[in-house]
Amino acid sequence: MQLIERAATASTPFIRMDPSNGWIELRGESYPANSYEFYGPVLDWMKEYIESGNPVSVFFAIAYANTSSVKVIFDMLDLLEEAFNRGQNVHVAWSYDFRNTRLAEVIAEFQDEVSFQFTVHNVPGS
Amino acid sequence: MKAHPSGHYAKGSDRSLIDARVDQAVCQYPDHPLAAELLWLAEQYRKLEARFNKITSISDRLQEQVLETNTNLKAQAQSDQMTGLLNRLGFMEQFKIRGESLPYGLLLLNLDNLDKVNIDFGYRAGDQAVLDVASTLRSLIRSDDIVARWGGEEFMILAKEAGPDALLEVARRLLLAVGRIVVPGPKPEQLSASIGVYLCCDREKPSLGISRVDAALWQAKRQGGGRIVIYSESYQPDHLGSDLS
Repeated sequence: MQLIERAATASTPFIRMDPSNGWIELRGESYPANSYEFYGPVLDWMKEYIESGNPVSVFFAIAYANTSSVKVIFDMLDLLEEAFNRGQNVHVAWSYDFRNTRLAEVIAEFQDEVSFQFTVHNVPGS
Repeated sequence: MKAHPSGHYAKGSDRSLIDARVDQAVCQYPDHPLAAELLWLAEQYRKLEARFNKITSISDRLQEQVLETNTNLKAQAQSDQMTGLLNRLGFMEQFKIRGESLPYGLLLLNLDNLDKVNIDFGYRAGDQAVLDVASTLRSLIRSDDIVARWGGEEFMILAKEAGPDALLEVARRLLLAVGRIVVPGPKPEQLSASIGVYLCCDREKPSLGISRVDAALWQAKRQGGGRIVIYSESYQPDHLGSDLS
C-alpha cells in the first residue's frame, strides 16, 4: 500500500494516509464539488488497510463539511466500526476550536454512532 | 400525532407503519422462507432512515454556522474597527434603506485640530480623541439616527424625519459636545469641529446628498472651522481640489 498525501485546497482538506503506522489524517474544510469522486480513493485505501487487521487511527480536524462530506465521514466511521467489532484496534480523534459550539454538537453526533474510542480535543484555531 | 399529508415530515408515523406492516406480514406468513429477509430489510430501512435524518440535521447545523460566519463578516466589513461605529460602506447600506423616508438630514462633522493633536500629543492621544468623539456622537444622536466614521477625522450622521430647526439644533449640540472634549497634557487641547448640514426634502440619489453635505462642510472649513454651515445651492459640490489652496 502507498502513502497518500494530498495538499489542502480552498474546498478540500489536507489528507495523509500512512500505511506504515495506520495513521489517517484529514484537516481543513470539506466541500468538494463531487465528494464521492474525491473521497472514493480515500475510502478504498481505508478498506484495504483495514483488511490488514493492523491498528488504525483517524485524526479529523475538519471545521466544515458539506452534506456529501458528512455522508462520507459516516461511511468512514461505519468501516471503522465494523473493524472494531471484528476485534481490530481503532481510535478516532477530532480536534476543533472550542469557540465553534455548533461543531462541538456535530462531533458529538458522530461520536454517538460508534462504540470504539472517539476522543475530542479542544484546540484553539483548529 | 396526525401524519403529515405528504408524509415527508411524519417519520414517526411512517416508521410505525413499516413496523406494523412487517409485523402483520410475519404473523400472517410465519413460516415463509422470506420472512427473515423481510425483517432484515425492514431493519436496513430503519437504519437508513435514522442515518438520513442525522446527515440532514448535521448538515443544517453546519449551514447555520456558515450563515453566522457570513453575518459576522458582513458586520465586520461594515463597521469601523477602532470606534465600532459603522464605516462608509455600512453607512451607505443603511442610508439607501432609511433615506427612503423624507425629509432627512445629513450632518458631516470634521475635527479641525486632529492633526495638531496627533503631532503635539502623539497618535495614541489622537486615537483616544477619535474614540471620545465617537462615543459623544453615539450618546447624542436619537436611537433612530445613524452615525458612521466617514474617514479618519470625519463622522457622518443621518437624522431621520428632521426639519431644518431640529437639524440645526442637533448640529449645535454636537458641535458643543465635541468642543468640550479636552486632550489632556501639559498644555491641554480642546477639540474643535466643523459641521456641514444638508436637509433633503425630495427624493434624490443618496450620492447627491453626500456631495451636498460635503460641500457645506467644506464651506465651514473655508470659513475658518469651528462652525456649522447649512448647504445652499450656491455651494458647488465638486469643489474639492479646486479651491483648497
